[in-house]
Amino acid sequence: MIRIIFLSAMLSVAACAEQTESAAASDPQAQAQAALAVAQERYALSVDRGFAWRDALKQLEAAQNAFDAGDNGAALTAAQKAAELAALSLEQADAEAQAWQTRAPFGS
Amino acid sequence: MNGLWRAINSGYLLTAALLFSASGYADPESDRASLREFYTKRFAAVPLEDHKDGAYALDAETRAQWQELEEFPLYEIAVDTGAELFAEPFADGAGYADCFGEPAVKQRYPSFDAERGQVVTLEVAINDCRAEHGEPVYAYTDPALASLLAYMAFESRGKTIDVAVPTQGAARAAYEQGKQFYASRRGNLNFACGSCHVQMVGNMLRGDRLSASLGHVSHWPVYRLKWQEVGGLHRRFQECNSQVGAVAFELQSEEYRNLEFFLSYLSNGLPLNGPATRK
Repeated sequence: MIRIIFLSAMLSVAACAEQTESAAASDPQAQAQAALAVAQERYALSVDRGFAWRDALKQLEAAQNAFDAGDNGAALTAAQKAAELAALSLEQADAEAQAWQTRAPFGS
Repeated sequence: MNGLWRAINSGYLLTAALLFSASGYADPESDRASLREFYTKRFAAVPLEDHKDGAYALDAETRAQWQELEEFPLYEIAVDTGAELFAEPFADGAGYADCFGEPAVKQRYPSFDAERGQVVTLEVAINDCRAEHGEPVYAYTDPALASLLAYMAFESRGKTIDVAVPTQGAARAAYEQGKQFYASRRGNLNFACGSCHVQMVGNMLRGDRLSASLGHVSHWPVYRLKWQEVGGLHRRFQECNSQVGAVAFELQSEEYRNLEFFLSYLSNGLPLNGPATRK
C-alpha cells in the first residue's frame, strides 16, 4: 500500500514537472527569461574569473533590452549567443589558468 | 595577415618559446634579464635605453614626427596646472610636499605597501595623501589628478626606475599576479599582452608599430592624440584589453596595479621620460 502511494506521488510530481517544462517551452517569455538567467549566470562567472568578453556583455545587454521591450524572440536569440560567448570565455579562463606559465614573462 | 604569418613563422617566436617555456616561476630578476636579452637580440641596432621612447625607438620616421610634436608638447598645460595644484595648500595647511617631500618621486612607484598588502601606484599615493589631510580623493578619471601626475612625472625626468620586489611574501605574490596577467590570453581575439609586445613586437598593427614592453611604464602620463587629453597608464591598459575583446578592469584595480608593478620591475634601470605625447 505504501509502495502504491509513493509511486502515485512520484508520478504526480513528474507530471507536474513535465507540465511546467512544456508550459515554459510554449511560453516565449518564460523561455527568454530562462535563457537570460543562464547567460547572466555564465557572464557573472566570467567576470569573477577576470576573463569576461565584450561581445558577451554586448549580447547580454541586447537580450535584456529586448526582454524589457517585450521582444522575447530577440531576447532569446541574444541571450543564447551571450551564454555561448560567456561559455567560451570560461573555457579560456580554464585554459589560461595553466597555459600562461609556459609563456611567462612573454605571453606569446 | 601576411605580417601575422611572417611573425608566427619567424625565429623570434621559436626563440621566445625555447627561452621561456616553463619559466612561469622564474624570479623577478631572471624575468628582467630574460626580457632585456630578448629585446637586445630582437632589436640589435636599438640601444636598450632607447626603449624608454616606446615604439618611437623602433621606427626612425615616426620618431622624427614624435620629436617634432615634443617641440611644442601638448601636455605642457597639464604640467603647469599640476605644478599649481602641487603647491596649493590643503584646508589643514599641509600640502603634497608633506606627503612626498619633493615632486620628483615617480621612480619609486609603484611600491608595495606591506601593511595594506597591496601595490600602491602614484595615483593611489596622491589620493592617500589627500585623504590623510581631509581632502576629497580624486576620481581616477579626474583631469586634476592627471595634471598632478604630469607635473610629478616631469619633475622626475631622468631619474631611474627603481621598483623593489622582494623575493618572497605578498609583494612577490603581487608581482607574480602581474606576470600572470601579462602572459594570459584574454578576449575573443585570444591575445595576451605579450602577443603584441613580445611575439609581434616591432611589426605593424594597422598604422602603428608595436612597442616593446621594456620601457612601457617610463613615459606616463601621456597626452594621447586619440584622447585629446592627458591620461594615465591604466587607461591605456583598459584600451589594450578592450581592443582584444576583453572587458576591461577598473582604473587602479588590483589587476592593473599588479600589472604595473610587474612591468615597472622589468623596466628597472631605465630613465623616466614622462610625460610624453602619443598618437
